[in-house]
Amino acid sequence: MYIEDWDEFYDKSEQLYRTDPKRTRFSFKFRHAEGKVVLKVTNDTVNLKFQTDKESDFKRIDQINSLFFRLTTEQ
Amino acid sequence: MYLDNEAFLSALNKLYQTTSKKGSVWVTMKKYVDSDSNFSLKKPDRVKSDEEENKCLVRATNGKKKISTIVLAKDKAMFEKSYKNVLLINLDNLKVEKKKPTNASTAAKSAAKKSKV
Repeated sequence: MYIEDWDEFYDKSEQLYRTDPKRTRFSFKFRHAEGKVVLKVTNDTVNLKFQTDKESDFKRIDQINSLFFRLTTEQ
Repeated sequence: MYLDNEAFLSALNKLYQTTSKKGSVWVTMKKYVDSDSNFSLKKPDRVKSDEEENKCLVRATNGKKKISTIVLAKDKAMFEKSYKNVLLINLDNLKVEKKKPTNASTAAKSAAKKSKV
């Protein structure tokens, strides 16, 4: 199931990481042939997915990359 | 294959190039602490000490070749910037919407989306 609303996906991702930092991972799939991006955050119990093929969503991809770089290196 | 930050990014760039016609690339990030990987201890005994740093483990694969790197907090800003550049170069066929969205129109759009929900 894909989440349509970006803010919902972003907030839930952060929440999931905060509740389970040890197991939560973020994966980013890019398929060049279709120009399609799938963002997925999961802890093997809860699964959050977001997909896009729009150039205007690049900043969102960047946003969630930043989020996970920040969260994972937080002391 | 474990690589240092710089080598990882150039290898990632290559992964994207090999999949330009078919295939996908997955990039996964998760928290990494050294004590979790101390395989000489049993799982319950792998306790994180306070001075231990949280790091970011980044893995990438095209389904065949696997590469990984560990980003330290101090290298985060640099790595993040270079990683973004790799993506900018390789995510070159995303759809551009017909009307170039200005700040006002994207704000209106997200407002409209919210009201729908």
